Order: sequence, then structure tokens, then C-alpha cells
Amino acid sequence: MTVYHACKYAPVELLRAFGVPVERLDPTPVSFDCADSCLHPNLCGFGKGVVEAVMAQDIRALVLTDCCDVMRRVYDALLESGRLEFLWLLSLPHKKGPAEIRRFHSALSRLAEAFSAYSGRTFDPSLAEPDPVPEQSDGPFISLSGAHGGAMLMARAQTAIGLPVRDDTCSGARTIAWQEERGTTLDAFLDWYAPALLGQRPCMRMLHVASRDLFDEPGLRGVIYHTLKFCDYYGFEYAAKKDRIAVPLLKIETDGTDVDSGQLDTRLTAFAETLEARPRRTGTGGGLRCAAGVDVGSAGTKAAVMDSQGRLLGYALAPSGTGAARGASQALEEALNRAGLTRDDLDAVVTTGYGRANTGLEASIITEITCHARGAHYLDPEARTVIDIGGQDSKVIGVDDVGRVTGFVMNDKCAAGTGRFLEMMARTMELSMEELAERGLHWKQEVSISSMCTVFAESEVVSLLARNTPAEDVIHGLNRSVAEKTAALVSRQGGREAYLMTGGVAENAGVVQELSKKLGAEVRTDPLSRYCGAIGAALLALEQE
Amino acid sequence: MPGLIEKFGAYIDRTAPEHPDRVRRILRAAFGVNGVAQRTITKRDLPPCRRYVAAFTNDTMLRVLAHPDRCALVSLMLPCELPDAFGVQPMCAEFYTSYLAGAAAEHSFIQRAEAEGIAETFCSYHKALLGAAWSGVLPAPACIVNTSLICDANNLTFRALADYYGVPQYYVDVPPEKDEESVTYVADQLRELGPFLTRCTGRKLDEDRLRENIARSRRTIETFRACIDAKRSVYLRNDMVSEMYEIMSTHILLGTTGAERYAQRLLRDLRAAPPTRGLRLLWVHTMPNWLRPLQETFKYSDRWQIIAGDLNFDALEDMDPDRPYESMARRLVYSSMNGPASHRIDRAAEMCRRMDIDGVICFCHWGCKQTAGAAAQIKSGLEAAGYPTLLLNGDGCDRRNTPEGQIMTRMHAFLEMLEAGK
Repeated sequence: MTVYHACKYAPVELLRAFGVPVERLDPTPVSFDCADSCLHPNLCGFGKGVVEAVMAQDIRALVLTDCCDVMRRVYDALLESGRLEFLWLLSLPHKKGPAEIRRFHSALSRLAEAFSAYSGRTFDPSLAEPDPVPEQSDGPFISLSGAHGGAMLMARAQTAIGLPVRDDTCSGARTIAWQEERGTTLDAFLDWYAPALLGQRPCMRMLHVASRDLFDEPGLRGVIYHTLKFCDYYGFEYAAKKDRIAVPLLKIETDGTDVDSGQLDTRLTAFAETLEARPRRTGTGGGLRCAAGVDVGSAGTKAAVMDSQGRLLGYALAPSGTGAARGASQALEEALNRAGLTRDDLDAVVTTGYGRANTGLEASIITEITCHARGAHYLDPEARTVIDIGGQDSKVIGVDDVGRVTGFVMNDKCAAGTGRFLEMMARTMELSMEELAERGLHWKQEVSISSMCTVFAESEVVSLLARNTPAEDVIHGLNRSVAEKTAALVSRQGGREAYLMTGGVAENAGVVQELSKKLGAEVRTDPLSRYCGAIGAALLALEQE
Repeated sequence: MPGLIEKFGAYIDRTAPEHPDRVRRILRAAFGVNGVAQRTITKRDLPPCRRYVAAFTNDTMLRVLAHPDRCALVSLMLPCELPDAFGVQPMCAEFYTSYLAGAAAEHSFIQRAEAEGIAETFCSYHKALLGAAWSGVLPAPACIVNTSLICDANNLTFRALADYYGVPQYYVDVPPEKDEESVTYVADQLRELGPFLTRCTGRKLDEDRLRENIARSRRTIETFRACIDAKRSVYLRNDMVSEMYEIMSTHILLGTTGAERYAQRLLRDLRAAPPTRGLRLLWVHTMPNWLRPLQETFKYSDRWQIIAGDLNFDALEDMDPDRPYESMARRLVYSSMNGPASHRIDRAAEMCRRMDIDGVICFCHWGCKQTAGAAAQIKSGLEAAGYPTLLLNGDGCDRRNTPEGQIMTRMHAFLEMLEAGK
């Protein structure tokens, strides 16, 4: 009989004292069909994952804590399902003073009594083994902090970063001050165990969190800060500490599933590139003559060919729709044609973008974050913030004075605020993207598109048009909506002037104007902004050994 | 006045980032105008009790906004008989942001909070409050006092605001177990709140006033209980906002003479009301009372009427003036919002029976995991008890999350279904 738990405040050692194995539940759901029907879609993926795991696996005993609203409701739903033989919700105080410790002692005592009655086993403190202490080295490491990430996220981070990654998330990092003198009775055991369990380094649901001193340790080289969609606790810590963390910081958000692994890997790899960033070779002494960069985006594939003096010899655009390999090959051939070169003239190729690993080209692979930063520096050396609104996502990248990434944020799993959003709206209004851009400049009255969700925004647009609102005013409302979303992203990154906008949406003057108003600063564009990633990739290819 | 409120909100949106002091003054003036309009125009067709609760609540908000630095910023569930006995006025966080939403002025504040990194999925009442503070529109209170009820947002917003303002925070932890041990635990925390308030404000506890407040709360609660039974067979004109105003009288303002007068007038009006007509509905959780088509649907309607909201009968517990701290603690511990969702469902089903309800609307406020997570159980539990239930997804505060067309289609389809079955 294995007892499962889902929180670092779960009394693992107390349960072991009944001679049963205790395991952390680490769900990796592929869908939330059960949870969405017995709970609600607007709950965090970890909580819903616990429900999915119980429904799918042979789990008979589960101890939850009332650590958050979602876990309370997960308990309710599982209780109603009747699937578990033993299900317990441990009441967890928000403070850890003497009164709270007394309550917690009493709550643990009730749990022990109930578990003993269920299992027919008796409490034996000699069996209460603590978790093995993870090996601590003095060497460099990365902290995975924030909301529960589980083994899945840990493995992805380890693979991408190449440094030891420590699990400092809410469900990891149990830090119990273990006592060898355990006491001989349950009461004596709980006298020291209750305060030890409650006295761990606090998670964010505890009232006093000053002792969450996670980001000042020697050896810390970077922080991957994870938030879960619909878990609100860790956004607060991120907001409070993002400007005070001295090491490189990557903010990622997931829904607790593995479905966005491509986007997640892009971010983790780009972060690894940031950590490894070193001064580039300059000049023409490398012996390279020319190189190409290929940026495989969701809508179009862009290629750029450059020589070692930094001259752009040729560039081209091909649709991505026919597959990454075909699009990459087509764009590269076209760019080489325009440069008057052949593939044999290329000393190196770097591919980037969402399809970067599937081009079939003999090439190095670098994420579009690093490439965009480098390309933006080429297009505008004064640029310190790159705002890239592509077809699939939006990103804001901080750039230093030599084109290296200083930080970045991306939107998460939502079309709102991306090129796709405007494409969908253009389709609704039966306009081409060019017509949308042009007509949006001739608005007369402000119209507000308030929905955050693309689907709802579409129905808002339909309603406005049905009320004979001029299309120009509706488009202006859409432009404002994209600008607002983007400005929030710029603020999260701590963006500073000069702003350079890249990506397809940079060609929409209405969005650029609204964004400029929102930021209170000029937003620059460049006729070649669509090729920014490809140019950066070509430049990085030139710098390769 | 269609359009005027939205224009006002757009002005606040534009002005707040650069001129927070001006926006603060304008908002206060607007709430004052709202009070005058309620007395003279907008509420005149409502029964006297509902006109009274609107005016009384609006006046309280205006008084608080005049001197926020002398107030305690509190969460909705905090029993305020105690701060009142220190002469400390409570400023209710959720009600302040409800006012912002009513004035269509929530947008820039929510955006400000999100730009700081607060999740889009966080409760928008709390986001608007944070944004108003961080924009400089909401000035620092003397202190902050909140409970852990009824949602996680309480654990985050008030701590963040205490850090931001640099003012002391007092936190009342309410355990989920409904027993005497929990009552004692919470009562002890409330006892400690007294010295905290003295430290923050220099004021002393007036024990007689506390006893009077608790005695008044007891009488008010008894009157509200009588109102529930009086509602069973009568029709009393209503609109959505009145139910929201009542939440202040059943929580933060409980123990005041205003809340007692409202309860008495409500009972008097109910007893004089004509027989019931149309569909009788129970609303679970908060309301997007600013959504005009929804307002129009329920305003003065004798075809379908919201008879009660479940936030108004979550804690109508016995009170004992001789045991003030235990009495206040009992209201928190035994609130139907505390503990498992089944308690809330059972209470709603009991009220449906007592008030002869035809159908229930459960509003899943965006970002409220407490209610959304229980929604499926609320629907199945109440329908098993014989009360058809509509789950409505939207946002009580943020217009961006409230798709008007979708909400109205669902609402009217549900009402048509109930009418067909009656």
C-alpha cells in the first residue's frame, strides 16, 4: 500500500512511521478531460493533474493539504468520486506561532489516528525515516523556483541548461530540521515534528515569506521562475523580486502539461545561450567569407546571406506552410540567388525559429531570441528593447550594446496580442492584412475591444460591425488591444529605449502608432525588420569557429 | 444614461497613470454624485428598504474615502464590530473595486497590476485594488486587517499592499474545521487584534461599544433570518445592485445602526409586499451588476427576479454580547464559505427550500478558484435537490472577461427553460 501526497507540508515521515511507502504524486497529464468536467477549466494544471492521476492510476490512499483553493476543491471532487479508500485533507495554518503549532499538532494527530484505523497499522517512530538529503555541491547551479514543475520540467531544464538544476518549487525542496531523538509516543514525536514540518522554508501561501531567501546563495548562476496558469501565488513573488535578482532570470509559464514542449524548449535553450554568452569574435580574421541564417517562423520562412564584413548580400521570404524543410530550402536558394552565390559558397548556416530543428540543412541551431537580439543590433545599434510580434507569439527582448540578450519575456499560449490575432480579425472582416493595416490608420472614433480572448474578441467585432460601426474604427480598436497587450509585456521585461519593433506586425503602422502612445516613446521599425531573426542567425553563423 | 459611464471610465483610464491625485478626487466626487442620483433618480422606483441600503452604503464609502489614512483596509469577511469599537472605520477592499467597476473605471488599474507581473488569472477585484494602490489613486490606510476567508487572493493582495504602503498588517487565519477548537483559535486571534489596532491608531477599545455592536449584530442577524422566511411568498421590487449592497450590511457593516435599520426596513417592506409572481432565482457568488443587458433583465422585473444572493446568508450565526470574540469567530468558522464546498451547497439548498426558489445561477467569477472549482458540484448538488442550476462564466469586475453576448444567450435560454417547466 503506497500513500501519495502532493505538497511539501505533507507529513511524509509521520506516514512512514506506519510502515508504508510514501510517494509524491507527480502527474504528467496529456489532457484534463476528467478534471474539467468534475472541477472547472479555470484551475491550475497541477491540481487538475492530481485528479487525472487518481482517475487513471491505481491510487488508493492520498493525503492532501489545504494549501490553496484548488487543492480544497480537488479534495471535494475526489471525495465525491469515491475512488480512494483513504483520502485526507490536512489543515495547514498560514502562520507558525505557538497557537498554530498546537493546531497543527492536533491536525497531525487526527490524521495519524484515521490512518491507523484505515490501515490497521500502529505508529512506530523508528520507521519514520526522513527524505534523503539531496547532494549539495559548492559548484554552480540553477534554481528552478516558483510553482510546482515536477519531474517533467526538471528534466527539460537539466537537458537544456547543462548545469545542475535544484528543485526549489512549491512541491520540491522539503527542508525539515530532522531530530534523531524522535520520541517514543505519537504525542512526543509530534511535539518536535509538527513545528519542524511547519517551519520549513515557507511556500508563498504562508503569511511570512521573508525567509524565502532563495536567490542569494553562492553558486547560483541563474533562476528559472515557473508559474502555472491559474495559480496566482508565484506571480506575486516574481513581481516583487524580478528586479532584485542579481543572476540571469527566466520566467516561464506552463499549464502543467507537456503539450507546449517546443515553445518551452526554445525558452530554456535561449536562457542557456544567455548564460553561456561570451564576447564575440569581431573583424574578418576568421577566414569566413559568407554565411546564411534561416528563420523558420509559423507563417513565413526568412533567409539572409551575409559576408564577414557585415554586408547583407541577399534575403528572401518563403511560406512555411509547405513544411519546414521545403520552406527553408526555398528561402535559402532564393536569398543565395539574389546574392549571386551557391550553397558551396557558404561557410556556415544557422537556423532559428519554431522549425529550426527540422530544416534538413546542415546547420547549427540557435533560438530566435538570441538571433533576434543580434539582428536587431545590426538593424539599429541603439536598440535596447526588441519587440517582436510574430504570427505565433510575441516576445520582448532586452539587448545590450553589442547585441547580446539581457533578458526576455514571451506571451503564453494565447493568440491575443499576436499576428495570429490580427489575421483572424482580418479574416472576420474579409480584409487582407495589408488592407487591415491601411484602413486602421483612418479611424474617427475610439472603439474599445475589451475581450482578452481572441474568440470572444471576434464575436465583439462581429457585433460592432452588425451595429454599423465603421471598419476603420473597429480596426483601430483591435490595434489598441494588441498595443495594450504588448505594452504590458514590455513592462514585464523592464523595457527601455530605444524600442525596435520587428516581425510581421511591425509593418502595421496602426499598431506601431498605438504602441508608441502606450509606451510614451518612439517605436522604431526597419524595412528589413521581418528578416531580423535571419540576419541575426547569419551574423551568429559568421562568428562560429 | 447609456454611454456616460463608459465615457467616464475611459477618462479615468487615460488620466490615472499621470494624475492619480486628480483621479482620486474625481472618483470621490463621482461617488457623491452617484449618491445624489440614487436618492433622486436612479432608485426612486425601488421599495424604501432598497433605496435606504443604496444610500447608506454609498454614504459609508464616501465617508471612508474622505479620510482613508484613518481607516483600516479590510477584507470582506472581517468582523468589523471590533474595529468600530476602536473608532476605526473599515474600508472594504472588494467593495472599493466593485465601485470602480460600477464606474467602468477598473481597466487601467487591472492593466497596471498585470504589467507588474500579477497573473491575468488572478481575481480582478484584487487586481484592480492593487493597481489602484500602485497607481497612487488609493492612498495608504492606517493599517491592513484581513482574514484567510474566502479565497487565496486574501493571502496575496493584502501582504503585497502592506509591503507597498509600509503599514502593519494583521492576518486572521480561519481553519476549515467547524468546531469549538477552531472558534477558540480564531477568537484568540481577534483578541490580539485589539492591541494591534491600538498600536496602529493610538485608540483604545471601548468595551461597551463592542458589546452594543455585538448586540446590534445579533438583532440584525435575527431580522435577516426573518427576512429569508418573509421572502417565501412575496414579490418585492429588486435590481441586481441592491443584492450587492446588502453584502456590506451582512458583513463589514454588520453591527452598525445603518445595517440594523436596513434589515428592519427590508422586513417591513417584505411583510407589506404583494404575492409572488414570476420566476424566483437564487444567485450564487458575486454579480457582474454593471453589465447593462443583465441589469435590464432583472431590474424591477416581475417576470423573473433575483430573490437572494448566497453571499448574504453565509454567516447568519447566533451572537452573544457577553462573548464578543467567540461570537465574531463563530461567524467566520461556521460561514458556509469556509470548509468543503458541500457546506455551501447544503446552505444554498436549504435557502432554496425556505424561499421557494425556481432556479439557481452560479456565477463563476474569473480567477475565483474557490467558486469555479466547486461549480460542477454546486450544479449537481442543487439539481439533485430539485433546483435547476445555470453555471455562468464571466467576471464580476473586469469587462474584458465578460462576453456579453455569450452570457445573455445562456441567461435567457435558462430563464426560458425555467418558464417552460413552471
